[in-house]
Amino acid sequence: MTESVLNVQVTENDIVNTNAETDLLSYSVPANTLGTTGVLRINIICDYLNTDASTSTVTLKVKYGATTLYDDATIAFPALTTTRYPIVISLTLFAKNATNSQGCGGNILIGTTGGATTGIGSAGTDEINALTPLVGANASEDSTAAKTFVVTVTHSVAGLTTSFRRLYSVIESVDLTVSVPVPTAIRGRAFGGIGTFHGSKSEYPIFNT
Amino acid sequence: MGAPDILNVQVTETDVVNTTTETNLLLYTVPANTLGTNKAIRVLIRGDYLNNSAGAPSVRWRIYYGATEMYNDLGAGAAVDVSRRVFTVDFILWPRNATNSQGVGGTIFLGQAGGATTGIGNVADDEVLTACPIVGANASEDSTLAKDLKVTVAHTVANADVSIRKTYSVIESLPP
Repeated sequence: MTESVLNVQVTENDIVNTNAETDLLSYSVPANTLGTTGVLRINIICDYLNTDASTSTVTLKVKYGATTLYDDATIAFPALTTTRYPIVISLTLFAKNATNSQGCGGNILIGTTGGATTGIGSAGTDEINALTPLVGANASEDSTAAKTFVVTVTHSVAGLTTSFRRLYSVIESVDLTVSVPVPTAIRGRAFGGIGTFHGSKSEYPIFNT
Repeated sequence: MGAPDILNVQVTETDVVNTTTETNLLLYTVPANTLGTNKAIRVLIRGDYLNNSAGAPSVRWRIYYGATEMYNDLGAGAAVDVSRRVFTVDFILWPRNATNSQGVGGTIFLGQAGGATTGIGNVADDEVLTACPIVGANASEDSTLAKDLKVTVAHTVANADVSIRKTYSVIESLPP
């Protein structure tokens, strides 16, 4: 098994003052990266602000090639909120035993505004704005060709202070077909994935098949 | 493109018990130039928490890089229970496109006591004590120098039956 970091973004991407669908993260997955058993792990750390006079929602979409794997809108965020919400998105895009079949899963957490003495995200509650495991619709893309993996954001409101920022993202590849001894017992894993406990206002699994 | 490197693994239990003093749950000195302008450090901590005392004590969680407190919050009060609760702390520390600016983000979970037939963690319930994505305050540390990365905890009550244990941690370096 080999693990590789394919892409890191450390430059903020602020999606603000628009209600057009906009890329939060876009990465062209090289041809043959997924193969028949390959996996991409994607982690995105973000925050969100709505100081607009209107309530607002955000539609999040995950796409691979021409296929939308996941599409859902958040709850309505209150108007005139001056602190940001922490957001963590963890996704896995995996080959389904063929180069023309892919699946996607993961989770999305949207926290509470403020709440902490330093930073944002309240350790004092499990009642956050969204905490959902997700399973995407399957894709039938030809992964022997390069395909773009995209996460997009669409604000319901175009406001100068309605902002969704990507702060950091990392995309990793796990290739099971390469036999390299790796001490898997001590391999770490990013947040989420299998075994995450959950409780929130948005506490349902999603099966968009 | 490169593989993540494991910088540090700790498999020896650290038990913070019977004290209200802020105590390191994890301490690692990040070598100079590890972050650069576009690398990152990924931290995963596993452990458990016990409150078998009267009252509803809680834990204050803090994350530091160098001299900067990047995250600080008090968890929810835990009811008395003879069983332990699982916690997970996962976060990434990244450079904000410069060697003198850093961000941090991730998650903290603290579950229910017991609940499973084997192990700890109740899959029949979504009500946990903490389910929290976090984004820390930015730091302005000079990462061309070695800096301590710390996760500390502080109990609100000192009691022999109020304990938080780190059972495992791993720190990885993510290449650009």
